[in-house]
Amino acid sequence: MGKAHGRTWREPSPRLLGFLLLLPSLVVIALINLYPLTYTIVLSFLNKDLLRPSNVRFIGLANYVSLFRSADFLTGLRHSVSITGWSVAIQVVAAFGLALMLRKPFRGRDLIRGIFILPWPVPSFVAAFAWVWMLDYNFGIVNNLVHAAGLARYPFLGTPQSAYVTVILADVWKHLPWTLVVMLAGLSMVSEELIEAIRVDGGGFWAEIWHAIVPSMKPVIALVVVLRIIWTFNFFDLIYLMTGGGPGQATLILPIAIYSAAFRAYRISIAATMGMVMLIGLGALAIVYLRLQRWDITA
Amino acid sequence: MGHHGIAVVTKAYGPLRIGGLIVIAALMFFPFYAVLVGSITPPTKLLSAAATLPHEVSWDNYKRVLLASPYPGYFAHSLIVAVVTTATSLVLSTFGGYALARLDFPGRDALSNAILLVYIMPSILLVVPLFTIITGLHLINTLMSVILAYLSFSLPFCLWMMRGFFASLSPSLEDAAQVDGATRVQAMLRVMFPLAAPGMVATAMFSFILAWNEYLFALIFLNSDVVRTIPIGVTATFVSEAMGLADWSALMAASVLSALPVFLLFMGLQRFLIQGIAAGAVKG
Repeated sequence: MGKAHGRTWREPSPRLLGFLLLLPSLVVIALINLYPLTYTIVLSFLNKDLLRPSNVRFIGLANYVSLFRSADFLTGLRHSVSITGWSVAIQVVAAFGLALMLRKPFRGRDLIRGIFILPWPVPSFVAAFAWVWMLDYNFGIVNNLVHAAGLARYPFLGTPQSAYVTVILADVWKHLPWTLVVMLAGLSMVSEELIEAIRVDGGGFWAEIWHAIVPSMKPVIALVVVLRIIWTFNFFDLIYLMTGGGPGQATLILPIAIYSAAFRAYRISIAATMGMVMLIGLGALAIVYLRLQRWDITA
Repeated sequence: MGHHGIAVVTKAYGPLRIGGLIVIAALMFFPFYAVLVGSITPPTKLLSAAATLPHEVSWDNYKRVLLASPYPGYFAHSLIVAVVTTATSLVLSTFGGYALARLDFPGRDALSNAILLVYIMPSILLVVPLFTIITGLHLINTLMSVILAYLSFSLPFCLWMMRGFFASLSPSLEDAAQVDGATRVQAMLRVMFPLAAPGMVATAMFSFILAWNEYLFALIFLNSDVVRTIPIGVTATFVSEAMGLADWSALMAASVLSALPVFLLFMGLQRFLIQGIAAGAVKG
């Protein structure tokens, strides 16, 4: 190995080189991610309240206990779980169905797929305003069409029930592209021989799906479900901008509850504690994700 | 045999399937249609039932946003923030990603997993402590505040992406360079980095889109038009509290202008989508 010409310094070992190359990234992650994370943990054991800055002290698990009596937290948690559940379920079923429909080539398939993927890069604030505008009670295009059809205008974001459904649909619209692209990638890995074998056995359309496609795609579907749950649970801006959590508290999700606790009520420690509860729940899912990650979907 | 039967059935379902797809695609496109129509309808016509179809095309809303509002400033701030965030993350993650994919050292896999975990941790969790830290550093209302905050998702994302791209390159190329007398570092800089260039472009574009679209940190750290980025600037200028009184026509034009850059980037990215997803990092 000493044959190299023009080498003026000793070649570092892979171990040292790896450390040196990663060091800048690790320093930044330590400062921007890990230090704040540690700080959140600390805050959750204090009673830091920006309106009473002089009285900060350690109060043990009192914040955690108080969460279970906090209406905002319980409502936020309930809505986050149910909105995430509905949104992810609809996305996964719809993306799976659409992927099947897009599997065989036809004229215009690229165009159709392109339209399905269109919402992906849209900034959340644009998505939120597009939906609010489109569904506006008096002037929105949808209600104009409803009105033109001779029906009564519908308050899509005006009642607790309708707003709850509408934010779920908007969330599905925004994230269906990602889910669909992953499903299409997964579907393209399903072996044609397996599908062929089921056909030769006289299996119909549903047999193909249940005995060939679903079993082969299980890892991909599991990956999609876990990642989408994590990301949907964390997703703040679309619902915040569409409803602010209302009407009343109909669409108050946990991230909005955390935001309000910290930046409306200035109860920093309570907000940090809600964040910690979220972190623990999602951390468990993230570990599941790491296990799934080993199934390489391009293999 | 059974094969032909299925083929016949498939043929019969063909038009139905394509018809269904077209209907769903039309529904997916509808919000875009609403925004585009709104953006070219004059304000006086917008708040009337006439706005369903574009009766007259007017560029006044765009002119108003571009010439008579703080929008150009927001655009410049967003551009600075997204470019600086992306450039910083890309440089750091090219070296770091190479190390994670190509060099054998103890704890490498655990470190990769830890970076992935950091990446999927929620922004809302970091917002509270970062707010206290940024305030303590007197960085509120500076572009630096959001650049620092955006590194919290951009850097782990880029590391994971670049790790994936380096891992997908054949090791034999690097080995060949070393056999020819290059050191490991020379092989990395002259062989592997150029080969990973398409990956760097894709990673940079995704990172740019994430930073360009970010709302939460900007909402909390930037409270003045001197620093506001597009998402909060547009909201602050054209929407009043709780969506009550919005300047809809300007808002729709501003929405189109704000989405356009990321749309163009995304078009260029289509072929990287699957690759990025396989790397497990691309966020939707």
